[in-house]
Amino acid sequence: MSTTLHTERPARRTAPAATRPGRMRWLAWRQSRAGIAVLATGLLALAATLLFVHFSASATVATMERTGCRTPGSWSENGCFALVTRAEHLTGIFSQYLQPVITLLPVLIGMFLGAPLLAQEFERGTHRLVWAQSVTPARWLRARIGLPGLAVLLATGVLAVLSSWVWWTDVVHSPVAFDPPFGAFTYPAIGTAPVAWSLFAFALGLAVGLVLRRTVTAVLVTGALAGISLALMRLARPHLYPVTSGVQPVDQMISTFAQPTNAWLVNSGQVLADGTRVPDLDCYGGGGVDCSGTVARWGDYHPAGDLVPIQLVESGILLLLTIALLAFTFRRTGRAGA
Amino acid sequence: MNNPTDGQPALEAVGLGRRYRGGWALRNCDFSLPAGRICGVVGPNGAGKSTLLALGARLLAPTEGELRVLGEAGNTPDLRRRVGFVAQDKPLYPRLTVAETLRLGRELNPDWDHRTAQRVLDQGQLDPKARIGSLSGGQRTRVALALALGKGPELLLLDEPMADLDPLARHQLMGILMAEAAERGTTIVLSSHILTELEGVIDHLLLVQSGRIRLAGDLEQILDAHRLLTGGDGSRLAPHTVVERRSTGRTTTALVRTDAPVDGSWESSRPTLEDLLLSYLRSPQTDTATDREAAA
Repeated sequence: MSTTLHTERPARRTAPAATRPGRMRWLAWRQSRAGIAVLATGLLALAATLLFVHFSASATVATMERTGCRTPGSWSENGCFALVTRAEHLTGIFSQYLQPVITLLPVLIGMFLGAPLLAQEFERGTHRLVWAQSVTPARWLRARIGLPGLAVLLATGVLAVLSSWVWWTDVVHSPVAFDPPFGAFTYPAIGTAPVAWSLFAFALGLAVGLVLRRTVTAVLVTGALAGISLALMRLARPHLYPVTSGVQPVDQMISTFAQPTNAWLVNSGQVLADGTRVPDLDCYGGGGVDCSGTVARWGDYHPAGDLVPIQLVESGILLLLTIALLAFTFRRTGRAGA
Repeated sequence: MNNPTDGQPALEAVGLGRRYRGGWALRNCDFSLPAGRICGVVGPNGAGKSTLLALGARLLAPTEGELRVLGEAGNTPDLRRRVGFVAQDKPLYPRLTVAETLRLGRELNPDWDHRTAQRVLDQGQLDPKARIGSLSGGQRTRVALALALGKGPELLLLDEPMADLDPLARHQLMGILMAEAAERGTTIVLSSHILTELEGVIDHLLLVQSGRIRLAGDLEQILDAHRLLTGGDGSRLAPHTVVERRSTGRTTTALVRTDAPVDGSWESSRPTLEDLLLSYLRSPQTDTATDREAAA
């Protein structure tokens, strides 16, 4: 009896017990696919160039070894000269072109993938279109950010592996190239740096776009802020890990402390007879200190082996900043969504 | 058919207020809209109509008081499914095609009703492969309404839905909205400043002016409570609440609110919706406290 009473009630909409929330996957893909395609094209171009450098350079070095051209003493000989020039040219592609491009890549990702993503939605008001559907702003944001974010992670991850591998096998250990790991364009192109910087710049672009809500302004401001961040981090980098200190006897050939191969000399100076340590800048840079009575040279440096701990500390900082920026983005979007 | 007395009101405002940086857009709003109605939200530009609808769509949070939507005070995923909203500027993704925009609706809404959405588009003879960015304003309005109707909401909030439609399209879409309301009992709230498009469509009225609710209630009851008077002597309006009085030469025309019988020297008629709205809009200083009795 009671069941018939229930069915008589005009059922407006028979809501299933477990309501399926809106599916964001299709829309996120539809809106991200152009950016992901550009990212994939860029990755393919860079990966192809890296592989070309690797295979050509290792073949050239193998030929040099076979023909007895490996040691610098032989390079002036006619047959060796061409091989050395070719090897230098190949490692130059990596050091002079690929490294700056990979260093700049995070800035481009922040500017053209991160910044427009939310700025454009809020500029056009289309976030209200999506929020008027059955998805919550948080779910929308997760999918909208998650898909391109994952693409950035994968693309830069592959790129970082390839780039580090080419640098390690074909450049830093090459008989012809000198490319220490702490170089201004070397360091950001190897190890975890491309991935950490790209994720950070992407999150930075999202937050800037959300605050400014204007696409063009957000793109430019993100570019400027990412550039400033790179510069500031470069200043902070020597202090991310304790330096190694060394003292050397006076060598008439060179006037300052000579750091080990591939190390990063952070500070150096002269030790005077009374044991005081004077920075080189005060001796030679117009500091007015008389350093003629020098008895030894001192230097603070990061040996090449510090590359890994410094990169890990830096990437950790960037990861924390990325998380903070994402948390800000989610909180602010949640507030706007009432 | 729907039964307006069944269940909760579709919208219920209690001391509702919303402040922007520039000041209060809405304040001290109290009204109740029974479910199943077609409610016109009327008022001059900047009166607070869009704010009221955005509050209902949960795109804004109230600064004070509350606006219960389908009985819910806050926002829940369930409520999102039950409320449809079309903003005044009809935001759509310009690079999606018409068909992709419908796909967006299908993917993002569990209760998606493709036939209704498709019917709205077919009437406008829209090419499914056309990009939204290439459509005219009226065509985009049609797509936005198709998306909102396809969602199958219980409450549909439309902010100036017909403003950029030609008369034929306006007539078609009004027909679809009316059919939707009749078939499914959908409550429809539409704001407008084109008074003629509301005549014969709405059965409930919400008159918003300067951030206040001046009139709220069943349209017939409101119209019954008012008389449009024409006569020679303006001095004998005393027992009635005068909404507006105008004199041209020796003739006085007045809109009054009254239950008492009108003096025989007046020519008295029931105002039309347009008479009523224009009189109220032209005389913003009328005491709002008495206005609100009509809502009770």
